[in-house]
Amino acid sequence: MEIDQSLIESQLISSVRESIDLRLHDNAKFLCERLVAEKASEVNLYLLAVCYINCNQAYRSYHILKGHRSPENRYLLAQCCIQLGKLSEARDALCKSPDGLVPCGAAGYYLLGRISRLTGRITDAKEQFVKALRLNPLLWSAYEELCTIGGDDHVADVSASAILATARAEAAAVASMVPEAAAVASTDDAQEASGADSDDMMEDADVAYKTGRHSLASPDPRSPDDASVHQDQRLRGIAKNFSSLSSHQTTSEHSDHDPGSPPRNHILMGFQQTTASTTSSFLAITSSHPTRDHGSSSYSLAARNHQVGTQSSSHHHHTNTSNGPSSSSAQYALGRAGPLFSDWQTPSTIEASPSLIHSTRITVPPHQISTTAAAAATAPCHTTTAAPNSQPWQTSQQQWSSSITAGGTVAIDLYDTPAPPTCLTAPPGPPQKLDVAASKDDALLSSLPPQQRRIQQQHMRAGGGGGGDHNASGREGGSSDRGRVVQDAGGKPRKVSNRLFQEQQQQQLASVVRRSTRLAALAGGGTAEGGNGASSNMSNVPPSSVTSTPYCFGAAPMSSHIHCQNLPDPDRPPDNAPAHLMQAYADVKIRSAAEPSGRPPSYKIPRQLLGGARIDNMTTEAGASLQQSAAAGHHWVSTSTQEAALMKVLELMVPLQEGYRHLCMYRCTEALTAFSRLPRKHYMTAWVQCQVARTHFEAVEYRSAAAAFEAARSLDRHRVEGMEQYSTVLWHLKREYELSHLAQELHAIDRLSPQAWCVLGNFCSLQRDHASAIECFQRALQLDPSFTYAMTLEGHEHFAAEDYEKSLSCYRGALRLDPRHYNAMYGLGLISFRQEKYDMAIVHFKSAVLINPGSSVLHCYIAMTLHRQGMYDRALTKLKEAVTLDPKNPLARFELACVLMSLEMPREATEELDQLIQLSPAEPSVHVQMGKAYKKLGDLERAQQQLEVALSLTTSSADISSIKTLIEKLAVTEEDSLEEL
Amino acid sequence: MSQQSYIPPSRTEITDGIMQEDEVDRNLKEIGHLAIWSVSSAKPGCGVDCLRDHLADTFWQSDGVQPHFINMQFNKLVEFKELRICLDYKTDESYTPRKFSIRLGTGVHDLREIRVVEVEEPSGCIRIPLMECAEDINQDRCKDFSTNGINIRGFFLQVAILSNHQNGRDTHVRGVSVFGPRTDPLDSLNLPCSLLSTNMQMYATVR
Repeated sequence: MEIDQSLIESQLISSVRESIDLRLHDNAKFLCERLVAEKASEVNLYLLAVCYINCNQAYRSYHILKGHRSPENRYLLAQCCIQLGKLSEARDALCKSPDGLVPCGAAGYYLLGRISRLTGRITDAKEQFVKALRLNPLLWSAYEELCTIGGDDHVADVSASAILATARAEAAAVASMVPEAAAVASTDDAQEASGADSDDMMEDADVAYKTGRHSLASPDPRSPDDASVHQDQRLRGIAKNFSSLSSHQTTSEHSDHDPGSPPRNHILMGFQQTTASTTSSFLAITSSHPTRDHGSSSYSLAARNHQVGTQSSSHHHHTNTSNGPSSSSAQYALGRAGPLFSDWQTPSTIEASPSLIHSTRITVPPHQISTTAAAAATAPCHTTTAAPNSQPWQTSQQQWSSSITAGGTVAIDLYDTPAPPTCLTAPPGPPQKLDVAASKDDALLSSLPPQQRRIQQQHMRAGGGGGGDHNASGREGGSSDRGRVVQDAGGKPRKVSNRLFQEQQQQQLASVVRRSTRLAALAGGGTAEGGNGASSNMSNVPPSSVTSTPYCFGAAPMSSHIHCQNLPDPDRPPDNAPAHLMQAYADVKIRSAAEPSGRPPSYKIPRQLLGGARIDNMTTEAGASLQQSAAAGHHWVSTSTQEAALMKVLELMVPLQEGYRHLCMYRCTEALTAFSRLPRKHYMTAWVQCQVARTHFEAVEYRSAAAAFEAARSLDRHRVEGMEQYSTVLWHLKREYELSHLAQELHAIDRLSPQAWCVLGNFCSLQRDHASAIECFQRALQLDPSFTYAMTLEGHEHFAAEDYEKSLSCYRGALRLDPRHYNAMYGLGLISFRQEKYDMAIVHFKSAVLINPGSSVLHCYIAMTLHRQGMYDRALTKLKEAVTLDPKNPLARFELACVLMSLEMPREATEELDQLIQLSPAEPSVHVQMGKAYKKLGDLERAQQQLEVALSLTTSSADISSIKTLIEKLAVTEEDSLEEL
Repeated sequence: MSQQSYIPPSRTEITDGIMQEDEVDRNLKEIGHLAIWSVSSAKPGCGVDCLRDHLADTFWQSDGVQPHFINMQFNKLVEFKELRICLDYKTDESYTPRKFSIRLGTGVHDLREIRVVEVEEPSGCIRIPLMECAEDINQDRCKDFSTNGINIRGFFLQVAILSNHQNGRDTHVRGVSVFGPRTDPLDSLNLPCSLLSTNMQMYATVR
């Protein structure tokens, strides 16, 4: 009855899934319990756990999932643990696994980051969030948390703007070469379509290779700023290596060929292969060896080369890394050996490279097929006559050139963007051609991202989950920094290629190659993880050359569809034109990387974003999941359009991320400008409006904040998030009616949200009903114990009720939840200030200012403390700082006048107070102070006048009596009063 | 201090079993939670906890000879402003206190009488201001203590129930609360006057 069993099982599974989809959770739970009764496999138990979680029974899921090993189950277990507050168990669930991998990639790291944050390990949390963002730049939650915990410098590396910035830099670099590119195109057209210009191209490539060698030969660590100076040298270094290689290759395999351009080209390929493979191994090494005794020089070199290597490195990287630690260490030694490595790698890679690049052509998306088809049509003779293995360079070269011309025409039809006429008339010359090659070549680099991602994963694997090592090493030292630049730059072209597409015909040509190679790299690098990475490429390798790729056939279920894609024409001659473009690409790359403007951006678009396929780490465990092949297959559907969409999304993310980042660092003006860059339809959303309001709030512009919050509420009446801040704004503005209304509405919307209770608490506080306010805030905390702001507010209430002990514990609790919560820090300072422990107060206020340096109020408090301590000069400078920060701050000006009085400068004090009266009229304190100042100046008449004004303004009886005494004592000089005492 | 009896000015009705206190005075804060409460004697089930449970249908009942005492021992010097005692003649009748004395000191040994209060058939919370007249002001002028009174300070506050209505012996008290003055959080800024304009107040605090 085996069959029946499985049928029952599958029937139950499908019913459960259907129920879950229909959100009939109880039904799903019941059915799933039956399913588990049938067969309690891990997969079924996972489903049951999902059902329980859907029914808000995380504790049940937790007990079911405990001890499971599959990544999905561990991830779910971690989620349950976090929900149940078992943080250490959650960490174990994520980290302690047989393979040492964090399940579910970005999401897994995000959870780890959350755990670290909740357990107070902020640095670790930052690292985890960075890892998560590296894998998935669209993981907003991770970005948000990273910003919140103050990972400002970390964020810069992983933000969408970092990705796009390099993309733009690259686009600019390529765009600057457009004229030359067009010029070359014209010459190409003038020449014979079927490869007569191949020699020409070869020449260019040769020039490119010959141009630089030093960097490889003498890998000295340099700081990034002089990178531009050395780019030529770097190129030259590459060329040197190439020349050393060329001798090997020509003698070993292609000695029967004429020593003209074709072999050279082929050699280029080989060289490229070797550099790529070695560099990738380098990368792996440096990452797994954070002790960078050698790394400072070799790492940057490796990274540079890696970029040159482009997609071939993906291939080799896989073969290398799949060997495990032993092979990487071997390569490490090799890498240290320096130039020798080229000899080592040559034989194995030589055949692989053409086929590799060839495969890239096959994976061209549908809309580009016309180009390739045209290319094939113009050069059919070459492809057929040339034996794949004996003369790959020649045929491919010809085919390449033909595709250039064909692409020139075809692509123009597709993309209606003619080249500028000036470009056509520009005289062609070798350097320009080089640039053309460069522009084309950066496409090849676009294949990097997936590899890099994999490399990263490799680090994680090798370094025992210490994926951060790579970053750490990359950040230290100038040279490694540069290496990082280059390596990162590899991630960008993907975006650029899209843009390029719309620019020039040449660019289109380039992007044909570019995109195709990119896709190939995706095939090789993206879908298949670990040892399978190269299999897609390898499937095209002619039988004779199969031996050169021993690892590529490591069986992986999901790579099968890639095989299918590439198999239809396995004998197609390799197109090696991209190979020589690659070198020139390096030029572009380096140029863009050398631009001092950009910080080293380190991200690339992860594959799963494009494909929506199942996430990376799952796929790394080869064959672990049945869904992989299906998902990977799905991934191929319209990758280019998805990529374009992703680009758009990333562009949209830039202002959001920037704004949020600045907001979290309390750089209010920057945040506002960033948000204002958003398209209107996004700007006019509740979330953005709330953030804008928060920005105003932090800048003590409560009226604008209230307006923005009101806008947010009109956009989304039922928004609860952020309303606690709105209530505080209303509290500051003393708008009782609005606050009451808000509290009512929020309670009607969601009585169980902590925000609703915070609003009510603020309302009670405004009514000076501090006991009720405390109760409200405590309820908010019961609903969400990690609601930091409620805790701070409770502290404020205790403070208002003069219960300093409880207030202290509240503030401390808030700071435990969020060490960057400057409000609580201020509260601590205020308590010390109140208790006249001014030293302590200064410490607290200063640490609050460290978090929020733009707050004039905090500066003012520091100054007041200094004033009390008798340090008038320091108080004065602090106050001037506060006034510059916010010229509207009346209290700072008032305090300034007080300090001036203490410094026996009543004249200046009256001037300051005069300004203050303009700023905030009808404030009795100002007039009293003014009266005191006039008294000091001996102008008793005006002093009395001012005091009378104050008397008329004030309402409270205590103030009236104190002013009256002041007036009575006007005639008494200070000396007299001292004598009286 | 004068021994004249103080007649409390305002009372609060008890409705629906809950003490309907006046609206919370913005200048007062409850400081009863800072004290250790004790009573001279109590009947089982009607202990000192009934004084502090804010429920009108529970009461403390003494179980001994008069006078009965309610003691509040504070562990630090506190400032008092007002005492509220909740009584209900309608239900308690002869158990309802009629005359009681409020005493203050640093401990049981040095208590001095602050005020003697006489009530007539009370129903609700009786508010007793715990203030003294400033020395230089005529006693007659500070009947209500609102303008010229100064707050009193001490460690130990005692309420002694001297007599009941209808000469009853044991007594029922339904609740007692003590209030101290509330200081404005902005007082520490040492401003000559309290801030009036919202504009100024906005900048005075971070929240």
